[in-house]
Amino acid sequence: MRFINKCLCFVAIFGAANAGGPTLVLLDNLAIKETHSIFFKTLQDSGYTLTFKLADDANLQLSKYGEYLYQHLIIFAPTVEEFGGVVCVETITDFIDGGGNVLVAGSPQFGDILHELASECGFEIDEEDSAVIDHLNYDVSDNGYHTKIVADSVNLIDAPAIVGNKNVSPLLYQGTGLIADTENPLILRLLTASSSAYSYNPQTPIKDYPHAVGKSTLLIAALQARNNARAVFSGSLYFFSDEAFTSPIQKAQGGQKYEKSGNEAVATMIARWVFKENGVIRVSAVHHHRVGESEPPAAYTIMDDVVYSIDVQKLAGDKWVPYETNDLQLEFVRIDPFIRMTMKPVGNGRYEARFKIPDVYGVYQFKVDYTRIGLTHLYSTTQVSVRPLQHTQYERFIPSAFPYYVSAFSMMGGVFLFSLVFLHYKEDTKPKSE
Amino acid sequence: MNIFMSLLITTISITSCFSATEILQSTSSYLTKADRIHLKKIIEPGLTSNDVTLVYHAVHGYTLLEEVLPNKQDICDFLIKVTQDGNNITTEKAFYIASTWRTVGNCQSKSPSNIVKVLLTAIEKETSSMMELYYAVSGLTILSEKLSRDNVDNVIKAIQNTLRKDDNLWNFAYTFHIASDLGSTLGFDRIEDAIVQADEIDGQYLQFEGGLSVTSSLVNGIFKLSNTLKKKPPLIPQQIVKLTNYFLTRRSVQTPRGVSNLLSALTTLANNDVEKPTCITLANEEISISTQQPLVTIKVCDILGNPLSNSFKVVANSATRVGDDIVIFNKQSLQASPTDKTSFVMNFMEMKPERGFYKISVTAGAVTNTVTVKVLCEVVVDHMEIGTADADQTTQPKLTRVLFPEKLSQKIEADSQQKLVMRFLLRDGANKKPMRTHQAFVRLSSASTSNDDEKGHEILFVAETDTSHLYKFDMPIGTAAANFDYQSGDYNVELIIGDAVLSNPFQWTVATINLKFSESSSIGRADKNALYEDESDIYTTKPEIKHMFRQPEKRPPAFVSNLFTGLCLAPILLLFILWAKLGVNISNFPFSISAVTFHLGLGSIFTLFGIFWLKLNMFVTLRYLFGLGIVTFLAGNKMLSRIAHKHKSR
Repeated sequence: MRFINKCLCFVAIFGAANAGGPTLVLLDNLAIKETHSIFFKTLQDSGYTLTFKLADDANLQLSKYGEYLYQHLIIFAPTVEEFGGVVCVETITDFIDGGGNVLVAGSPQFGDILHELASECGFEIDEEDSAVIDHLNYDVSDNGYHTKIVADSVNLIDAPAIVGNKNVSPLLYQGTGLIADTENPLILRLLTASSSAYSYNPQTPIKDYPHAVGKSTLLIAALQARNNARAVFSGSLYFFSDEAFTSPIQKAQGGQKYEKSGNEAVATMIARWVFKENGVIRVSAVHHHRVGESEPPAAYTIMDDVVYSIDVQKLAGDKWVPYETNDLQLEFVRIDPFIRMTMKPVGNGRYEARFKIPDVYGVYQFKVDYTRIGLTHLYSTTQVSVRPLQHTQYERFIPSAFPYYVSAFSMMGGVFLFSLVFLHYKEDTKPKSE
Repeated sequence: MNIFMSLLITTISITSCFSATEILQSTSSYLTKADRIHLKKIIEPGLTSNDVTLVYHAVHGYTLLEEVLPNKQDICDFLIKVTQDGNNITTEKAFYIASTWRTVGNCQSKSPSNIVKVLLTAIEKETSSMMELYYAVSGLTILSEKLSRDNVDNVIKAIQNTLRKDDNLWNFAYTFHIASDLGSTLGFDRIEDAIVQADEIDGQYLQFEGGLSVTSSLVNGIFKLSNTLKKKPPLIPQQIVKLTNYFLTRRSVQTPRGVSNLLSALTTLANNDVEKPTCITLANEEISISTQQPLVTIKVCDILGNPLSNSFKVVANSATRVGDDIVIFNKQSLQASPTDKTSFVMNFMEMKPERGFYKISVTAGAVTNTVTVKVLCEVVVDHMEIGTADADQTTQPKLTRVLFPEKLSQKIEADSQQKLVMRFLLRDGANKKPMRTHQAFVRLSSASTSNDDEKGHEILFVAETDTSHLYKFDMPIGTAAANFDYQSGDYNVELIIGDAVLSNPFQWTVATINLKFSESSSIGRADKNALYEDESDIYTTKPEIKHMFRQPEKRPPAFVSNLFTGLCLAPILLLFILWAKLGVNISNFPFSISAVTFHLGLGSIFTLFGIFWLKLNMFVTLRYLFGLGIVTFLAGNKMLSRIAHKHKSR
């Protein structure tokens, strides 16, 4: 019991270390801290320690003595041309490589350094001064150029872990568009514009084909790197502002009026996702053994019946709770997968697979490779060796081999008897010779 | 918003360049009704709170909003309770209690003595910080308690000491407040030092580092001190306007403390003697002007939304079109609205303006501001023709007319040798001139898949105009095939027309087209796609794989194997039969240990082989065989030598 308590305690500490954490917020000017106070307050309330700094602060640093000072980085500094201190694009990409999470929001005046950072993360930000324009879906409070657009919540990505419930009021967006390579599988399109939107400078007539048109215009995009570090880029800083959080929303071209935009709900969910409060899963235990046994053997033999089970947990608040799904797949791999099957959930976050090991020996891996939109990459491999049958494990009495058995044993019996007879035979020839 | 701001900045710079300095800039916003409701909502819970701080901010805010306090008696009771129950009242709390006490008004007339005591202790104590001194002095002033000569001197000395050591913004703010309460000139000469530290943002706003609370405290302090001393604060009107602009951007403030800071600063600025900031803006942010709504309504008020007290004339100096700088009028005076004292109206459409954005420079009394309006127009589709033509231009295109907003009834067929052709002309609904719009896109979307489908094949093209504003759109199907992923099929052709100055942007489904792409390339492409898809779609379940076990080889029937078993047994049977005929015996068997051992040994070796076949492995077998073999060998050797000996001796 005490041991279990200790375990729980450990889990709790580990969990607490995951939620919240030191966060650096880089701002263009300190007024942004006040105009985006609701967003920052939500973060502070959920346990983040926010450190506000100007983006060109001369003492800016992300790491000290090789240790990162922050777990998360928020860049709400659209116009910054160069970061202060030792921070540059390279340090930020190193930060992401080191597992740090980054949230960047911009405006039509995206600075060069953020363009560079975005392209490191696989996005492209549209040219300076271009904004997402949608003449059919703009808000009534728009200032004239139809750049304060109403993004329908149906255009959110289908991933409750990232954006929460999709059934929210439409979203207010004002800013530039993002472009991403459609062939990059690590990029998630969190929010796209509608078909009638495009990204261009609203004050100049369209001469070239706009960089982003229709649904390929990304408003908010995310990258979950292979090391599970997350980066979210939003073309709109306004999206996170108090004004957007609290203002009513209504499409100017005759739309339903909503008292409050869905921005707050979605922005909060996105922040929780990017800072790894949501969509974090892990493997807590892996068991495998032969059917009827309880311990894994030193080596499996071909055609053994084997039971493999894996416990998966998900982070909820600061606790790990069982993760329930029904599409977890197990692969049994020797270079190529020999078996791939969907595991059966047996409750409490445990999944089980039963199968017969193939009739080919070698070194295999039990491999669970689970990648779903919005979840951290779950990857677990367990190496086992599979050996051929021992000679005693083959079938013993094969009817068609009886001739061989019989001839061998009759030979042996013959030798035994013949040697007996040959050595100790007493000739009866005496009477004959007499 | 940003564009609007940058517009404003440019206009500010332009006006400040061209106009003489006496023309003042106005703010472009004021505390609207909605803002007041928003602010009230934030401080409202404070009225019933158990925290003196919240109660103070709520009461303070209500007073500034000129709202009636609903539960004065409850607040009084609460204040009395707080003052009675404890010695642990800090100076700050004491100030809040004192201030709330005075503001609520009709509580017990006599101020509680222990509050005064707390405040006095703070003053007499030598270690009090600036903040404590500020709260103490303000609290006592509010309660109309006179300070003794000594105390005043002490306070002034303490302040001078602190300022010498650390003249940060907060200390300045406290100094100004205390000085004005004490009626001393202390710190008045430092106002300039403080103002210098203000940061200008975008050339538009002026704020002090630290945000709303410190800016508000400083502004209040500066004006309070200048009022007390009856001197003009060393602030130029531009700075006041910029400070006001800053406070007005903070209307979305979310904390009760922020609300009371914001309101007190705005009230101070609105009532200051130097320069009352005026707000000239479009009423209700009604930026769009059209034939249906031809009026430009300008709101002229102070920053709290109240009408200005002095009389003035509102004149629109000029209206300039954005882009080509055409001035459409000069000096038009606006009519005061009969219902609303703050509204001034002008019929803009009387000037017959072209569609577009206009900057109107408006002067009210001594202040000027520029507002932007846009004149909308209605777009009319003059004609629309759609059809196909040969890609190599040899034949005239076959075009069919489509009327807006109907859809072409028959389906258009096009293969990879042809091109899709559209010709259309848009006209301004007002003056019937051909026009160009910002957005004129042709959208082709797959008709079979639903629109919500993520990859629902949506391809957009930009239609281009020639010199006569005739829109032309040509899409050679062969070369565009890559955009469509070589997916032949039915596509909807839609036309999206939009512009910021259009009152009726639309998305019109013109026709359905059946595209046929060349086959050969499509197959190669599809293969590549399939390969690629395997790698890219990492977010879905993969197909299951089942291992194919090797099938056991076919065996001969039992009869055959039994027959051969019999045949294999035949020699030994023959041996037995022949032996029986011969009459074998083993009478010569010497009953010696060696003989018995040898034969038993040989027998056990063969038995061991049998067991080896059944269960043992080779190494175990060899171990047993080693023992048995040695024994059998020695015994056999002895036995055979004995037999040989016997033969020889015979």
